Amino acid sequence: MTKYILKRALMAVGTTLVIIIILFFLLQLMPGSPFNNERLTETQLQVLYEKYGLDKPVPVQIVIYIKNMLTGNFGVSYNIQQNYPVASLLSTRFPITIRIGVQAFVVGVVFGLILGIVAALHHNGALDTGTTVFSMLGSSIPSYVVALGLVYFLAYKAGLFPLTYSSEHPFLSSILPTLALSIAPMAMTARFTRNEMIEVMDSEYIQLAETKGMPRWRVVGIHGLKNAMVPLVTVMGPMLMGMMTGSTVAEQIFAIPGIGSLFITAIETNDYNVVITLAFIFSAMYIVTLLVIDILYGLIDPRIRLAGGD
Amino acid sequence: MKEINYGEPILEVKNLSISFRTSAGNLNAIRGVSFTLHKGETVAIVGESGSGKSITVKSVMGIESSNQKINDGEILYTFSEKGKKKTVDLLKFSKRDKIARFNGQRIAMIFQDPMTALNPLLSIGDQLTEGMIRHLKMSKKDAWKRGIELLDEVGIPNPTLCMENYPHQLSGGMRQRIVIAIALSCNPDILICDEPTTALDVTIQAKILDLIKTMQEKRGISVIFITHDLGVVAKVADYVCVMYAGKIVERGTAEEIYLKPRHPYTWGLLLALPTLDTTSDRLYAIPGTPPNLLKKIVGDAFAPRNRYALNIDYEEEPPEYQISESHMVRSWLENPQAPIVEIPEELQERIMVMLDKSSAEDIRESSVAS
Repeated sequence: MTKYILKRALMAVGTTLVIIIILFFLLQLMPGSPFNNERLTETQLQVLYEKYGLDKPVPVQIVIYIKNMLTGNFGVSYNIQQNYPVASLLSTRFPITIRIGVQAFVVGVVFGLILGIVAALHHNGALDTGTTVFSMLGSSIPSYVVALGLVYFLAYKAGLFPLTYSSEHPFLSSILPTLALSIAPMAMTARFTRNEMIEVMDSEYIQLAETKGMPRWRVVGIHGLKNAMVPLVTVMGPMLMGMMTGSTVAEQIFAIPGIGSLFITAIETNDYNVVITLAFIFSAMYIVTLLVIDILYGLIDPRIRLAGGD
Repeated sequence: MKEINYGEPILEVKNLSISFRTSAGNLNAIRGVSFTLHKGETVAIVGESGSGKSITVKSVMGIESSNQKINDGEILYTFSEKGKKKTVDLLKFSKRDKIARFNGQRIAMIFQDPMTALNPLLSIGDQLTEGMIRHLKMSKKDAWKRGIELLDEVGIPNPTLCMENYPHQLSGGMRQRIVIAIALSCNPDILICDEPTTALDVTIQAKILDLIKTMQEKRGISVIFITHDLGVVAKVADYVCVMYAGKIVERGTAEEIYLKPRHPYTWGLLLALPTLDTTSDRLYAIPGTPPNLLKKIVGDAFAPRNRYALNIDYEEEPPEYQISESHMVRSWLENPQAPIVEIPEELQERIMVMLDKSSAEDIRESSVAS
């Protein structure tokens, strides 16, 4: 297992470096230079280049760039808040996006699992049909429609929740965005769990567990669910990341001061450093999530664990 | 010839009738099956794929699929509980009750394919001990110790290490030994073997059969043995039921079925066995395919494939003819009005060869004994 984890971790580090290098060259490819002022003289430009280390050879620049990115020195914002460090710009917004994303993910996965298992155990029954209809609707209705619906009925009409996000009631005001965001992963988890469980419950080792006289909860929970989890874990990584990166619309509707809205502003205003930093952070999060998933695979499936990461 | 010596009946299947709801309509898979399993003995159920062998025993264990419907019949199981003898109809219990009260502890099962019968994600030890922990109320440690003994008993080398292993690390033969150990772990009265050697290499098959037989003799278990291979049956069975299209067409002791078969279908199955003594260079196959059970069957289901079929075979179903106390045949050929049909010559020759061999063995055995 240790060998397996080390191997995965090493690959994750490698991928991160590759991504930083790609981002570096993307910056190089951007038209013009950071100093696009026509009034600057050659000498002045020279001074600026030296100040920012742009006169150094490219490989040296790459090393400096990697070092800066990994130590959280993302440079300063050009337009959103001039000369304000990007790291500080993100530090207030990031926790909100992550918290709401994780909340939505947990709610979606837990209820999705329950729905999926119940549907599989009542295969072809009314509950199964209901779940199928729900997962079709859940994956085809965009999250902003759900969000608007929730705002209209639960916040505006019923007045149960605040209309927008407020930092004074960080939990209460995050309930509606969480719900709106959780519908899609819930639908997806329910559909996957249902299909996997139906297949698993039909297998011979389930019959063997039944001939052994194992109680229902053990047959479903230990023998069934564990086997169904292997493919489920695969879809959970991208789903979790979707919660982080795809919350833009929900953030707009609920006026959440998160990453999504910042991302859009940064792109609109050509704030390179902010865009690049966000791209880097999202990639890094992706890599960490995939690493966690690889480790989960190993924990669940002895065939992967004992193969030693080959 | 061995004397017919019935033990106490332990499982009586009476007039069992099962159908499946399918999108194409009702499929009448089991159409009135009856047989009796006696204490300490082996009943083999033989038939082609789709004849309903597995469905019959799965309904004993309550692991039938959800679209199955039991239309009629009884499965009477006799056991002793707290020193008292009890007979219950297993079909009267809900699936959940049946699993909780009988499965594992009283009736256990061995599956056809050991590659898929073990849970790939749980260790051998976990799969072997969970039954004992639940039914025998053993501690995890005691169950683990008992598990090692069981693995040793079924012939697993290095059982202590094997307990920690996962199914994918073991060969098919080893896995089947483990499935047998799991089945025996809670000391059942009845062991159901659903084609336990079909998925194994020929060299392993004989070893697994020997193992099942040894375990049965050692523990006095009654065995229901399902197979499509009459060659396997000869090695294990006391009684044989030949099943065709959801009905038992011939039933008798192993000797009666092998040496005095009466049903043309049994003749076909016996002729289809490859032997070393055969003179012909082609292996016999029963012509045609089993009937479509979605349709109502008129007359004898085997008639279209039976070259001895009479006109009445297409009109009316043959009743049971009792040839001897143990031997039953469902064939119009047994009717006094039917023309006399002899066993096919080739089969007769084979039986003679078999008789010669077994009498030669008898002589050898008796000379050894004296």
